Amino acid sequence: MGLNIIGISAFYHDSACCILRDGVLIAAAQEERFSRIKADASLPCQAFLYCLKQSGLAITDIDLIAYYEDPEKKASRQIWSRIPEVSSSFLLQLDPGRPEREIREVLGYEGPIRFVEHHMSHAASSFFFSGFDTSAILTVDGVGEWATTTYGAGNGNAIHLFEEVHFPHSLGLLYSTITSFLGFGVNDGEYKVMGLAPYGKPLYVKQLMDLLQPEAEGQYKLNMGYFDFLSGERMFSDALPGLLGHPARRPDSIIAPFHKDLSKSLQVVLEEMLLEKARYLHRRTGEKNLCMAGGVALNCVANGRILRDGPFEKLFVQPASNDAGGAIGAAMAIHAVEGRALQQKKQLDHVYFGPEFAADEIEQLLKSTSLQYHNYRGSRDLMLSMVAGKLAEGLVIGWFQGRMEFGPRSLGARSILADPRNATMRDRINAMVKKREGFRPFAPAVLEDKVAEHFQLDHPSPFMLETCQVSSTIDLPAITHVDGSARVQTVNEHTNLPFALLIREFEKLTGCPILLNTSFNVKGEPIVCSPEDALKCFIKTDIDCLVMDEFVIIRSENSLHALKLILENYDIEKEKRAGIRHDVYTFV
Amino acid sequence: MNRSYSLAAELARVVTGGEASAVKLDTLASLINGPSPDAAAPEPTPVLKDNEPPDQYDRIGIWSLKQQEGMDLYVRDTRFAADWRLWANQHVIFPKKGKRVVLLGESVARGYFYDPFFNPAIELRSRLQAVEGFTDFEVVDLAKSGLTLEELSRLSESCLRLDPDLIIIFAGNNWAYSLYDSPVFSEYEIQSLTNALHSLDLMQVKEKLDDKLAELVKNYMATMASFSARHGIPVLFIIPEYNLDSWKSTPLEKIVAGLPEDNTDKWIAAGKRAKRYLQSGRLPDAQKESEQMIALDPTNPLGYEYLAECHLRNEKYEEARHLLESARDTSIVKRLTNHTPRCFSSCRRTILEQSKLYGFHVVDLPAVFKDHLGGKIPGRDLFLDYCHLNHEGIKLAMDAAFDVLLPLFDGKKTDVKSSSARELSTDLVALAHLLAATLNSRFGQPREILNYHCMQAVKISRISARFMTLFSSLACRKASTALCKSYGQILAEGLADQYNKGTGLLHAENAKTLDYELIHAMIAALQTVGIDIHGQIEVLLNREHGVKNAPVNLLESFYHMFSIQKVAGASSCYYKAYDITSEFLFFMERNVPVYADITWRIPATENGGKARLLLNDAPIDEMDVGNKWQTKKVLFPSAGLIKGANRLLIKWPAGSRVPRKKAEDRNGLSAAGSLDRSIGSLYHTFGEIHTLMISAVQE
Repeated sequence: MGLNIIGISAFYHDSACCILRDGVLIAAAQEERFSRIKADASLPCQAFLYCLKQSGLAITDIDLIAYYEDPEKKASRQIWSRIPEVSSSFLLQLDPGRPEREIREVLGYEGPIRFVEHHMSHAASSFFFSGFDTSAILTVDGVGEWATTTYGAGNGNAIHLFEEVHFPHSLGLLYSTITSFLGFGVNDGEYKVMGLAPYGKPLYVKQLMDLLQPEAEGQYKLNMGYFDFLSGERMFSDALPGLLGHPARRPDSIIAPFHKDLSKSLQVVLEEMLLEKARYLHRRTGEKNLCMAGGVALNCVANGRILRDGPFEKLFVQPASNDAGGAIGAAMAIHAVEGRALQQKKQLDHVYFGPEFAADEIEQLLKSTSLQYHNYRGSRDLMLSMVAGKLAEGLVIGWFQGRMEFGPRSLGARSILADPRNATMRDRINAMVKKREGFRPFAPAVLEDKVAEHFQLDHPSPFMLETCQVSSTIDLPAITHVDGSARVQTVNEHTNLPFALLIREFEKLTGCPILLNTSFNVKGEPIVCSPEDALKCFIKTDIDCLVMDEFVIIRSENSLHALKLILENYDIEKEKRAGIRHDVYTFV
Repeated sequence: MNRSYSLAAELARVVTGGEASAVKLDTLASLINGPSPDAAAPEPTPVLKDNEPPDQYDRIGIWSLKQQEGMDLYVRDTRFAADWRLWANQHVIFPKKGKRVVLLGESVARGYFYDPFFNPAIELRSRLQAVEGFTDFEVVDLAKSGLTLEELSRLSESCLRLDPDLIIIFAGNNWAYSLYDSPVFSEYEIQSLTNALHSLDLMQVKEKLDDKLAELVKNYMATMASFSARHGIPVLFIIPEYNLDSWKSTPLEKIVAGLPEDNTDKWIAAGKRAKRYLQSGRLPDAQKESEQMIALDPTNPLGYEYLAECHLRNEKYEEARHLLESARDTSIVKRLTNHTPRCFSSCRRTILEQSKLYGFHVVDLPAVFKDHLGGKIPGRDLFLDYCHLNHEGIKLAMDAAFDVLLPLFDGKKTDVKSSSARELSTDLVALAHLLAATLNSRFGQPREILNYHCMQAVKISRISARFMTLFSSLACRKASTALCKSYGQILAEGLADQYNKGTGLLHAENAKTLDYELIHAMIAALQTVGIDIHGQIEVLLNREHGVKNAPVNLLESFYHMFSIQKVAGASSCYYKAYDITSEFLFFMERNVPVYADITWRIPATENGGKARLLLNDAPIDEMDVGNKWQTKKVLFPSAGLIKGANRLLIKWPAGSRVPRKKAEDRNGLSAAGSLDRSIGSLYHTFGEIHTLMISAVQE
């Protein structure tokens, strides 16, 4: 008889839900995409309903719910952190019974619930989707229950985590602390720091090494005198500005050379520490494969370095390495514990596990609006040719096709696309479309069979989780970072046919098999999920052309001023509650 | 350190198990609070501070201070542009020239449904400026839709920068929300309320909430008194009245409480009988049943409303007024969601008492309207919805304010009322009716009141037909209101400018409703002026919502009305029936059989019960529903279906429910969470539905 398992991560950030049928991942999505609250931490109610709908199951068909951490163990760490100011009201506020209570009351689930430790969820999310028979496993994030870094090995159905670094010593929290010092949001701005690093010099490595002391085996320690995240009010102590000789940067103020140098220094320190610990893990396990997960594993620059300079031959990084991925890890771990055979034999090759929308539904929506649109139903080739032409003309395209991606990256299902050869494109998209900091780089999506011609990469990189040097003879200023690197996504017809065909059309026209690919959202909002989300984002930004399934809306053919005003000033959705705090790591 | 780890783990186990009282937790907490485990900190060096620019703006609501040509101007601040729609449509507040009255208040003071074309400030200004020697008298309109008591407190202070000669406060409808939205209760008060809830002493709960509201009002008025005394500015309170006659408690405001023993069943049965007796005119019987309802649950408005109806039919207005006020006041006991705005008796009483204490002037609209109506009950003749006045009501209120105000400035009372009274355009009045109809519809008001507003509108203005046609098209569509072409047309043609700049028509995300009853009220009203849109609406409804190739999910917001999918503190992802009948609509393009896939349960019962399904009022089936989820597939043969709208009723069994355990309520929750949860547990569900999909049988 089939085994249907729901996996859930929630109540911290990036809550998500997935469903496994007999060990096969059928559907997965983050709650933020439905609720439209960035990094929504609430129980993934809408994502749960989506998973049921996508799998054609009712709640009565669910055998188990796997939750991605152990609430009691987490509470013990939260209590310990608060000593000597533990009060009864604080203890009540912890509410470790909440996950089970809300799964019962909010989802209405009546069956068994299993709790999987946070880092085991991360480990399972990577190993069980890696396609490796055996592998070393490294998980690194801010904090789970107590663990912040774990070392382990996977073999068939079994994962053994043999060592862990305990809170408050945490590479993730070190990175977040400097992120906060640099004036970016915690759990939000870490990517910005990584993007800023190539602009700087590693002038503060020595000072940062005062914050982080390597210890024997897998261990390391933070010098807690420089940190204040235990207070729950701020990330760093008054000692840190003194150590670095500069005050903390105020959000949205000018980014000075110091900020770039500090970012670079942090990146260097992180990479060195990860390399050292990866070498240790290799010595302990003797494995040639490495699986990684946890928020720090989203640092694609460090990943590239581990693979290039480290002892492992192959690396698999879970594309949803943040806490959202904990949902699929918890579900997979429970599936394995139940003694069921793992069906996921081959490596995960796509992340299109989110909702899709029928052409009829999209057309019905468009008919309700005042928008002029082109209907290419039944004429996809014509549509692709037209869109490729628009890209070559320098237009920015909103691309909405098929099932939404699971995880933090847009990989050609909910993407903004542009010509990577256009020197002004990066600034234009950052300023006019994404409305974000100008220094932030964009990634290229390249046809898998052409990747070696343009990048120093000899294997597929379908999830934008590695950086490598650009080696193309084509000038690609919009996707080449200041240090000559790029964060590459390889695309093939097997996993995303429309996207691959579009890039081929673009290549036919221009000789360039590469497109600039960035997430379909604006600063502060989640990536679009539904056709309505895509339309609203299109209207509110300066995207030139929106392609949804086989319908095309061209900005220049529409007068969008009134609609933009309605959405910007009047949309009551703006009045929704804010998402999670970004000024401090919220442990409670 | 090891000891602190193990103590933390022990404490976590206790907290997770939910077995500890607050006292025990305090003891354990004091045990664990030893020396800090932090590593020794290095010597901190002096903090380097960035140059943070000081906030250069003084602010009054959305207006910030700017200096131009040597003048202090308050200019609308673009940082708050999204909120401009909630305030007066005035870009600049210039320095004072003559006498200045500042009006503070809520949407009722905003002139909801008329503003910015007509509102209390405009009316009062017009009155004043018609008085000889008062031409330089100005009324600065600082009223804001949705103003809370906390916002009012801040505004009461910041408005002093405008150097007013009189402050008018026309508010009180939103003040009780402070009881639910802010941390106003002490831990002790919350515990006391929770205990009263657990013992099902609902009147005690109501009294505690009334007392707390009075305390909040007193605090505010004391603050106002200190401002008034310090600056020598007189204050005039205008106490709002409620639409006692024509506004019915919403379905959410009259859900059945879980009463002790079998009293819930008795209450339901008495309610059914009272309604039937009222319909057949058996007033003494209806009165008896209504009295029983009140005795069983004095915090449910329905018994009072039925009993008031008996008295109204006997023209006993004073008794009816008292009962309708009691019905209104029951809502202070929160029934899962916030009630519609209203000024509770405890609030009115406190304003009157404290005004006397502090020497504030008062216009008591309940008394003013009573006098105006010769003792009859105020209703649609003065109101458009629960508390918002129609133009007659606004004029009457401002007449009263003017009468109080004039002597304060030594004005001579002249016959200025008739000369200053503005004649409003028929378009303005018609649109006010129609926009109010949309609000009435959203709050589940009876078809009769929807018909009234639609008919009033078509009678007086041709613009009504345009609005109704566009609105019906808008309401039928699945797309978000903001994206619909018809909404854009409504805005472009200025048809909703007087409803918070058009935003009143928007829905929250994923919560768009079909407004089916209102659409049909509009169709009927249009037919009276020779316009027939029935056919095109039917086509549109079928196209957008019809059961065709893909199943239709009847749990989407379009197809069910007034269920509560939101329990206190958290939304739920399934349907909860807080009434014994659940009603759904679905649309058929053709007369073909359909399947209903339904996953349901009757929680908190020993074995569930029997639910009856009715399709278009004809019984279909009676089915066993367990106390755990179960999935059933039900065939609706084509004979029972009709082309167009089909109405599916599920009648849940009454019968007692198992009450929650107290310990479970307290488990791991803060006191405030516990209160919310205790309120939630008062209102048990009669049935719950996780899936309800309708799909056509494939031919």
